[in-house]
Amino acid sequence: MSDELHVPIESESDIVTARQHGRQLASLRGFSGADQALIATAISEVARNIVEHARRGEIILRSLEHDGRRGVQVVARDDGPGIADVGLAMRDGWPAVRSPGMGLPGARRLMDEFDLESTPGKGTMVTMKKWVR
Amino acid sequence: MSQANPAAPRALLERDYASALADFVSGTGEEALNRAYLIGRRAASAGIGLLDMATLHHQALAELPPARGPDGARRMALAGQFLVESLSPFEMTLRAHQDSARLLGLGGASGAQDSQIDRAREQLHTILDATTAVIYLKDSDGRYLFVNSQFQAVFGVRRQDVIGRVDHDVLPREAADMMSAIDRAVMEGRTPRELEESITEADGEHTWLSLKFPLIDDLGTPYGLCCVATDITQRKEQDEALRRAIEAAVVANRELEAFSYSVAHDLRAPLRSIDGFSQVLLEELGDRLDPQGQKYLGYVRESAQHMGQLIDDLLGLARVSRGDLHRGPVDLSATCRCIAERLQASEPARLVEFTIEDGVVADGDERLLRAVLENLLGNAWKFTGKRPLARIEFGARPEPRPATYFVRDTGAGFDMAYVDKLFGTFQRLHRTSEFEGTGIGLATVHRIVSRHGGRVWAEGEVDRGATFYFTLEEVSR
Repeated sequence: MSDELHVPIESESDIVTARQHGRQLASLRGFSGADQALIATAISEVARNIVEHARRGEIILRSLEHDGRRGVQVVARDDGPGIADVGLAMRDGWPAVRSPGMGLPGARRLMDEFDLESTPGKGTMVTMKKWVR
Repeated sequence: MSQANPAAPRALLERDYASALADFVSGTGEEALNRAYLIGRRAASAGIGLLDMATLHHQALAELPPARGPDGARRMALAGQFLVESLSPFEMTLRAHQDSARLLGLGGASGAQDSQIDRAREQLHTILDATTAVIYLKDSDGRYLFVNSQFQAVFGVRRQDVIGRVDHDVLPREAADMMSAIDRAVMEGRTPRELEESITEADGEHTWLSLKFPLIDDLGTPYGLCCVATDITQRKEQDEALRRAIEAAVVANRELEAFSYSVAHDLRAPLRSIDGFSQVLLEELGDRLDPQGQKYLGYVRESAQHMGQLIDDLLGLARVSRGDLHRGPVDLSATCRCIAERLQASEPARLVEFTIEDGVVADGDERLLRAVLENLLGNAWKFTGKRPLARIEFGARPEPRPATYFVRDTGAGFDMAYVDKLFGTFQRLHRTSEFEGTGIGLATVHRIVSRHGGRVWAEGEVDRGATFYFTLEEVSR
């Protein structure tokens, strides 16, 4: 499978759609039920980030095949304000946030690979991969 | 906020969980799973535990309408999926804690290493518990990873009630507000900070000197914070007491000086009368006194005059102690030559060889330095009085800094055993019958040199002369 699935993200119901497609794809690729839940959770976290900081964007889902390994790729892209300090954004929240390890750093921990590109004023792109064990 | 009343979010969670589960088993699919995820996220944020979640799930299951056979089995599978979904956010939290624990070296090792690590940790904790400082470690979420026993004593909390919690769970609101705000600033600023913090304890307000520094991993990301705080309440109180005592002493000294000055001043008038009327008595009615009587009256005059000199010197000493110091370049060589000429003129018959080094210039108050040299050269002149041929020398040694100035003579000298009495007021090493003097001159020198930040000292030997040294600034470090 090499085709991509684009899910526009603007509201909570869009997040549900992205999760659903992500879960189906993960199930087809052979991920366990628990891993499917973790992938759906990671999708939720990056999608929330879009809704909260950029208002709208998209989630792009894709199958991965590499050295006989199978996996999924989740890209979250937006044209929002971007992140000035990526290091800061990737840090776990301080008590004011009171959601330890959630958000982008949380998503990173649920997936195997994580990459964050952001240009202030131009937007943010998060690329995450997870491989079937 | 979320910790303020855990019961309320819990009741709400129970209701939401039960209704979302019921929807999911009836086939609403991803929408209900999304709700499971949101409920889990809320619960994790509110500090609700995994066991609570399991209980919640169990209760919600029990509330579902009964189902049997294949329907029942399918429903159990769906319920299981729902539970997994609701626990997924906990997985994030758990992994975050594992990460910070690993970074702090508090976990992650296995097997043979364990006992070594356990021992090292135990030793470290023993050391941390033995200090009188308050020490704690927090993770990047502000949750306590470690507190030492002094922390428990000061805040009146038990270690097991603190670990894993944040300031607002553990400390009074005011202290928690302050501490978490500062700690957060240190983490965000990524630089250590030293500050004084005031904390109200059972026995009153305490001042702590806290060193707080962020713990930063290989990638430069702060993952926690360490604080070492020392109770400096006592030191501060002592400092304050000392400052007050010094202030009081300065005030008392100033008052005493003012009092002495006015007393000395007021004594002069009656003294002048005693001397004056004794003189009149001697001149006008002296013929009525026999020689014995005249001699006694002469003693009265001598004593009155000596006392007058004493008072004048005391007033002079008081004067050098007051007023501002006007520092500037002073040509000490020229001042010495001028004083030497005057001394020679006062007793032209004496043979004294003055050796005055040329071009010695010092930084100081001209009027006061003149008084120093007048006293030292005057003393040298006085104590060489019994020598048929005497030598008086003035010079300077510029090195080592600060420069040292000296006045040396070949006079009567003194016994080094009494050297510490030299500079006290009214202290005399020679009898008045031998050498005139009030014992105030060197006290004046000492006072002036001290006011310049300098030091004065002397070397001497009986009958072999004396040397007086002085500096005019503090030893620079």
